[in-house]
Amino acid sequence: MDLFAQLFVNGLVNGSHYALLGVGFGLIFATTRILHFAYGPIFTAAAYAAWFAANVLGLPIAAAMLFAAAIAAVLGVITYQYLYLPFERGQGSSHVTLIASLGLFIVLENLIAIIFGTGGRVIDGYQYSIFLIGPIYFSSVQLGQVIAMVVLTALLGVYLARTRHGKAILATTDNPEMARIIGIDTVRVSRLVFAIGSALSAIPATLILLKDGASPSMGFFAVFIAFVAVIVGGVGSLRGAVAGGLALGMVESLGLWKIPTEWQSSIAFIVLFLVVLLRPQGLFGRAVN
Amino acid sequence: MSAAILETRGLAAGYGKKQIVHDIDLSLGRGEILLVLGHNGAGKTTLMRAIFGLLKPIAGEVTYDGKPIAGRSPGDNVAEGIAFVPQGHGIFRTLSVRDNLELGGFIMSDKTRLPDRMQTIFKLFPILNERQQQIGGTLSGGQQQMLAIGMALMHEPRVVILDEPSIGLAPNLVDRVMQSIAEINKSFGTSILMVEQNVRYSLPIASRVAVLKAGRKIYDGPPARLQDDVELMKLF
Amino acid sequence: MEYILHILVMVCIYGILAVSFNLLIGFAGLFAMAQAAFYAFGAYATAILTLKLGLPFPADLLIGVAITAFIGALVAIPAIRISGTYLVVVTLALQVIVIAIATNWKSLTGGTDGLRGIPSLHIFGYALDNPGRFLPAAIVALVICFWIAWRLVNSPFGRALRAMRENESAAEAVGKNLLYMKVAVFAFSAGLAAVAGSLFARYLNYVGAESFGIDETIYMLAMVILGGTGNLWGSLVGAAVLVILPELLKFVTLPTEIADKSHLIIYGLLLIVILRLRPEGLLAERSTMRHLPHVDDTSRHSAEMTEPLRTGEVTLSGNDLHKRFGGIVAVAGFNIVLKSGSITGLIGPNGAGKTTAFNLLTGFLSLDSGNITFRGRNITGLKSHDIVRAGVARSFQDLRLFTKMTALENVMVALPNQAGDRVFDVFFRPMQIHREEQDNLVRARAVLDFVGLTHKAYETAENLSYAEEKLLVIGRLLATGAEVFLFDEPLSGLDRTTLAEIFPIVRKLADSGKTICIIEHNLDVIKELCDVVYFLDEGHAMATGTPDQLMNDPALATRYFK
Repeated sequence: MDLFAQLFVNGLVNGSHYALLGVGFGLIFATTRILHFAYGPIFTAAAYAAWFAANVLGLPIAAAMLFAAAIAAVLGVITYQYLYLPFERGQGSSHVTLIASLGLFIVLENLIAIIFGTGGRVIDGYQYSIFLIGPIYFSSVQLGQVIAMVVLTALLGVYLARTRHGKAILATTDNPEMARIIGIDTVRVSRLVFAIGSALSAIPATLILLKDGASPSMGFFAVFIAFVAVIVGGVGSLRGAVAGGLALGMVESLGLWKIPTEWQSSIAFIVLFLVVLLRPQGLFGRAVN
Repeated sequence: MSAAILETRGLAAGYGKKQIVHDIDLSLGRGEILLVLGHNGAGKTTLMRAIFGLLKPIAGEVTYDGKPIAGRSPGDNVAEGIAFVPQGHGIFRTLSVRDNLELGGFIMSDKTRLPDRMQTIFKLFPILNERQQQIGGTLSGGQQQMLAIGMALMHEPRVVILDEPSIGLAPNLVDRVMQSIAEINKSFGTSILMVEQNVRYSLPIASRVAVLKAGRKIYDGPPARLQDDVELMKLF
Repeated sequence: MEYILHILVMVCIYGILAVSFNLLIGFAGLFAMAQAAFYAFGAYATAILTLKLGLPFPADLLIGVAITAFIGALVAIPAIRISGTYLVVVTLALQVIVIAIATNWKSLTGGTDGLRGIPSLHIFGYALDNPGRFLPAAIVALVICFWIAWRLVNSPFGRALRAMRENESAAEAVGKNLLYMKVAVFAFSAGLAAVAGSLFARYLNYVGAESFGIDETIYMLAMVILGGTGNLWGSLVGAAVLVILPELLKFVTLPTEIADKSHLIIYGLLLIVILRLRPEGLLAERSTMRHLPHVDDTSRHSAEMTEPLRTGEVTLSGNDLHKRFGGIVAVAGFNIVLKSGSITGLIGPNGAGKTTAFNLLTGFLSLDSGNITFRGRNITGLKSHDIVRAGVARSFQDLRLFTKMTALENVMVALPNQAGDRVFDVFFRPMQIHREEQDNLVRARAVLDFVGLTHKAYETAENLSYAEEKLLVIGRLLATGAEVFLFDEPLSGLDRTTLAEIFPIVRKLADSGKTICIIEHNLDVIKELCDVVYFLDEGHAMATGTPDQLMNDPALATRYFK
């Protein structure tokens, strides 16, 4: 029972992490229909930016996080403006944009490896606290992951539903042409979601930096799991991305209860496989006809 | 200052290698309903999209209130009082009727006027008032079309361009929609540029008619004269 | 020198992989991302069968290909219900699971250590254990695999595949069995990838899980897209470029710590630049040109086209059809009887259930209750392509032409009973296929003549005018050779002159004994063409009669006519 409770908490924590990644990626995907592979290395860059701010500049963690978010936002917008937008305007299918995104992924990941070296980076002298409630233990960072997901997702939800820009994003997600017709500048909306989506990824990136340290290849798993969370949860749904991420985290963790560690990642995929087979639109997505 | 609020001269447009519209001169007078007729493939939709800015013209001029606007983005046109109702019920299917109408007024700088504008739309289309919270995609075809027209009217445009408002609607609904358009023109003085295939219901409300065939204008004049022209009427 | 030979061997292996992947992505339009898994199956099959069972060549290769092809066929089955991003995800999941198995099932696969000491190929006592000796074998394998793929895509099956890629429902509506095609193309794609895997195992004498991850699939994907989807030569070019490029970059000397990363950066940049300059890929898709036969040859077949059937017989009837979607009742107790030689109209307000009725009658939607009979035979529950083959075909309101294919190809793909649709016949009965193609051309020409589109035979469907598109829709439906034609708004948007030209065509069809049913909003068309009209509202027939009877009915007038 104790093991189960611990696994449950771990699942919740990891699920929150995946959920937040999914929310950022999903926002970009639902609004622009671009499979933004380079989301991964931008996530990595954010982690390193936070490391730089905290370790080299000596800023407090919160400030480092904001610094990372700013860097990520800028990188996201530049990627959109100079890579995706020219491809969208030219001919060629969406597959081409995907491969171009992959090219950027390769470039960025290796650039980061050259600049910062392949070894992991941690913030010198940082130690997180551990809490114990009954038989369950968790760290301050893990608590932060859950809180971050709840707070940021709620804020995003309010932003989308209540602000002018938020509504413009929702409109563009629903019907890009109609959005243009009522006077929304869909290019500006795309830039906005790239900025927001990328900035969102900086929070989990910083938390991972605190928990495990940063490494140049951390981006691959991040974008991959974000993508899976969005598909499981349903494209175009904020609740869906959260549900998808949490579901993945839970299944992965609870799967450990009975199944040996080396099969852990496979369990999640089998579940994914089944979800997509039985309910292709995801948990909260619109029905596919 | 000419009497025309919206004019095109020598307008040409197309998609990629295919040029669809050739050398079109159109003139929409203030407070008029200009009906553009023609069968599918004649270039009506291409023409409207080129005028409104969804498509960059290959050649020619478009002037609004004497000012050249060809090639401008739709956003600029909306801001200055031109609205567009696209073919096939252009609405936001996942959002409510109310949200849709609000978005129609997206471009308005003075948001305090939104509630009044919405009331005006509700008076014109009472069914929308009843179904304010209903999600757009669940409305019937006719209701969606009314919502689309309502959205266009939210920001008090001086010109409304409609692309086949009757498409896919049963004849009695088509009549309703046409009567609403005529009323909008009469009550608010809005100039209307309307593309249609359905001659029977649209001709009676038109001030003037232009006919397109294979991307060129083959008639431009009063509806009565068109009805007398046996050759032309054979097209419909 | 040996280094260059090694590169060439890798180009051959990746060439096979890229070609196999292009079959799925470029020709079938199935964006499946498990290619490295198929590659892995072939490699591990050879490794395990030779090391653990001591099987000789070619047993390990053939068994490996067979197993992998079978697995490919299994993967195709979920691909029926899902497509696009969802297919990507499912196949990616598969890929990950396969690699996890490869990594974890140590007793079978050697786990992360992999399997070593795989015996090299021996030809005439010669061991192919260095690049120079292995290269000829690799080249032979490449040529054979390329030929197999080539033959497949240039056959009628390949044409049907491209049609499926353009528009699945339309392909089904002309009688193509989508499940069969998807299973077949997945099986071929997987089997060819397995050949590459087997080669790989024999060449390196080692297989390990790290060679078959998602990066491999992505690498192959880049080759296909760079080379140009829908062009097999392009896949070879793509493979060559992406294998040779990183090697060339090694000559750019840089400090060792950053050397391989810098090379990767340049590699990534080049990928972006090349795609920017040529977004459609290096080699574009080529259309297979066929030439129309001359007029004399068609006389034989025009007789076939107008061979009269008896008129006045009941052909298709729908009895007490019911269908609901969640809470919405679409069709409720709909009854319809169609007779040969007559043109029946189906009118009614929007949302009345007309297109749904067509979907039910032709198997595009399943019935909740009720049954459908064709010439006395119960066809309820049959798949749509079987219903087309039985003799009931439908068109779509939104046309759904195969836009990137020519008018001629649109018609040819609809012709019934093509042996060329069956993969077995493509490879083992080439002469019969060839003769059939000649026949097909003649029949296609007859159809094009009938609808007056012969002069546009080589034009791609997307370049046709609206009226020509409508005529092609009719022609494509005719080509199916069905007896019952259900046209969904075939004439909407056409002007009087064009209509006047089309009416006699429709009338001629009916007079020759065909059964025709038309959904229309245009009341003049209904009056002109239809012998009997059904008025459909709220899911069932509210009234039936001649056009005049219905239009003079006061009750209907308020509902529909104004």
